[in-house]
Amino acid sequence: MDSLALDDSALMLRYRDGDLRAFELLYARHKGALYRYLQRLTRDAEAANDLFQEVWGKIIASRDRYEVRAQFKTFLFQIAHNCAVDYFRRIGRSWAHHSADIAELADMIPGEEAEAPESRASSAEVQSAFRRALDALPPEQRDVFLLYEECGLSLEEIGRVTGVAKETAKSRLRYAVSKLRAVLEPHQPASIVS
Amino acid sequence: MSEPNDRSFEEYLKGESVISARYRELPGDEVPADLDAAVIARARAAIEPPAIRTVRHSKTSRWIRWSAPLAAAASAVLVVSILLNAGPEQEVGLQPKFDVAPRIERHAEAPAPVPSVAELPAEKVVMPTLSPQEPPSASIGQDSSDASRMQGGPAEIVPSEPAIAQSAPSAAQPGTPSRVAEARAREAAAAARAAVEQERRLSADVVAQRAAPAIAVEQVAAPPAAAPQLPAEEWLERIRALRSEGKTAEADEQWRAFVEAYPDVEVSATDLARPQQERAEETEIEAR
Repeated sequence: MDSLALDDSALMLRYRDGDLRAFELLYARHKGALYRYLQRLTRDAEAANDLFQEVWGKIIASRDRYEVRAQFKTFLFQIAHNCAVDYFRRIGRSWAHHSADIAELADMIPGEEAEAPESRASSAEVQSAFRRALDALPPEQRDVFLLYEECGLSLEEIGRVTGVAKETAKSRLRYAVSKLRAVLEPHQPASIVS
Repeated sequence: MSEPNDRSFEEYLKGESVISARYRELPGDEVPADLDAAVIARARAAIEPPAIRTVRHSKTSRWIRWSAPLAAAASAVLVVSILLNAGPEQEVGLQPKFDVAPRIERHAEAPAPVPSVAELPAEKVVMPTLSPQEPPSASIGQDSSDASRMQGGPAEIVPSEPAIAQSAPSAAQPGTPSRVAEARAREAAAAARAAVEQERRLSADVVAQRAAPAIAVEQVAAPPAAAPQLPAEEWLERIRALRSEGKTAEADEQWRAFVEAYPDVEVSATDLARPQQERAEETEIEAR
């Protein structure tokens, strides 16, 4: 049977049985999303590299215990989320949401009245502003947004990965999207930004 | 900050938001090649050790599989080498096993009642016969009367002269392989000793002509022949002849050998075969 046609769980099971090629395919499918998730969540390239290796190391080590209970992607990003939480604890930054973060972000996001149409920046500037707004999100909101946008997980899967209820995950995502939209609105026609 | 707009959020969830488009426009961070290599190497290393363990396991199981036959072969080689080194002595050592069989037959032929279980230990305490031809187990050949004597009383030491009488004919039985082997071994040993003695005597004669006093000391110190070479009377005659020829040292040595070989043969106190000193002492004793 062609390995390319196998789903992630089947590849993981084949790797468990000693098929390195199956692991290489699995790795190729998910390495980009995982890497970007870790880079944008930690905002530290070196830390992201370490966490990237740590996550795959745990995947490799758990191959004998692996069971097909959910999507492999959920399994992978649950490990990645836990590694990231540990990382934030290690560096002394709280993973918990603080209202101060929200206030800071609110101050940082310019209001509609502050931006005149003629002062709209170029596409590169919008992109840069969007990136800064993303980095400025509280880790828990950034985490949920990245899991939704980068990893393609549903709200239910995000709740399972982050260990919260689906509604909590949805609320965090709503706040994140609202803040990002606030950054983009001055640079976009009102009909586009929704 | 204002409350999030539920309508716009629902549109975002449907995938119709500019937010998602902007996110996808962000420059993609690609995984460095060295990171790829490190992860793949780790994955490869994780599945290689079990293969090594399997090889080790197969080596171990192969050793376990061969250990029993090797141990059996080594034991067989050891036993064979011990038997070969033991030679005729081993056959003599096995003799009691063959001696028991005829006596068991005698028990079967005897009309005496079969001893009870309580009588059996009594047989074990019977004094073994002190015979150079018979092993200690010869006393087992006692009649059941011995066992019946032990019945109901304490263990008793019983001399076993009848066992000697019974074992003598059994030793002469031609069909017993151990007897034949023993006889052959004895003949071979006697022949070897005689040859050694003869050679030693000839060399002693030659050396005696060169250094008589030293040889005399050697001859006195030399161990006498243990086995008889000649019939008693013929040997005595030879010793007398040596004394008459003046070969006193050789005669003395032959005399000692004779006494050792025939301890039960009575020789007159004044026999010329005896050393002169012994004859003088015996004569003095008789005179007293």
